[in-house]
Amino acid sequence: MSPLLIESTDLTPKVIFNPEKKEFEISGESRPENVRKFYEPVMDWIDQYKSHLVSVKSADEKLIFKFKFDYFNSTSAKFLTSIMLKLDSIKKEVIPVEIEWYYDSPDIDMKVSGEEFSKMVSVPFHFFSVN
Amino acid sequence: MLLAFTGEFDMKIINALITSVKIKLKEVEQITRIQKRVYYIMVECLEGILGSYETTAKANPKVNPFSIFTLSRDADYYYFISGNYVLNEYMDSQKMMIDKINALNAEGKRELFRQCMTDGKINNYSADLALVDIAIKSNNTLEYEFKKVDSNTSFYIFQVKIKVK
Repeated sequence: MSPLLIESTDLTPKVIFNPEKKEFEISGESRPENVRKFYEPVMDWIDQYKSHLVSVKSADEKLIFKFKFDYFNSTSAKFLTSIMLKLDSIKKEVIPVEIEWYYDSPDIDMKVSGEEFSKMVSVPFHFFSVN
Repeated sequence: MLLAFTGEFDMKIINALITSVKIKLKEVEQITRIQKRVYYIMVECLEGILGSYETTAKANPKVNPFSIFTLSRDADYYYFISGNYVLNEYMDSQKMMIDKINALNAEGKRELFRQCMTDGKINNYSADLALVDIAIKSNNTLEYEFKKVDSNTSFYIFQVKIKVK
């Protein structure tokens, strides 16, 4: 399946979804001018990837998705919730998934945001403080 | 006073203001955790002004686009104040939402935040979610006032503050 690679901008995060390299990461700042327009392709890709995993009967042990945000606005948070729920459905129906949540060590709010997402899904979260 | 802007807001102006404050915050605020929190709330307030205007303008394209935003600080608090024109018919629902948020304790606000996050409504801007987020991060009462302009519109002033330390 083709990877999804989106370069970051001042307003939008970097997205690296590369099944071949087993790299799944979203990082940077998220306050897109049109949040739906930015995140819909990301969510669509996850849906397609789930179908792909089912069709190839993947032998991978697990998938690890990494989130490394400097900031995201409340509207982005809603779309991130949808992403988390999609990863949860992959975990429940196809293959184990884990999430690595990174945050700057002084940024308690970012850590708490990760903790809030972790309560919404059954996907295991691992927290990493940076700096 | 860290920032004061009056006029018509759009994304270009908001981004320029955010960039300007980001730089200034690094000069005036040594505590990174507070820098980040000021940034979080400022962005939500600025995007709130634009979201509010766009919602109002959809219902009434003749609404006055003039808005204000200030960010200031004293020894104890950072103060965020925003103001924009809104339609009177939306006043009551806005008041109800803010009063509801203010009446909740910390856990109640987090629960409301979770409800807003998972309500299935995916829009480009969610005022309720933004207000709850601001309330949680500021850990303070959301203050507001509606100043009636005419039979159709009022000027909505919103203020929130966060402790310096």
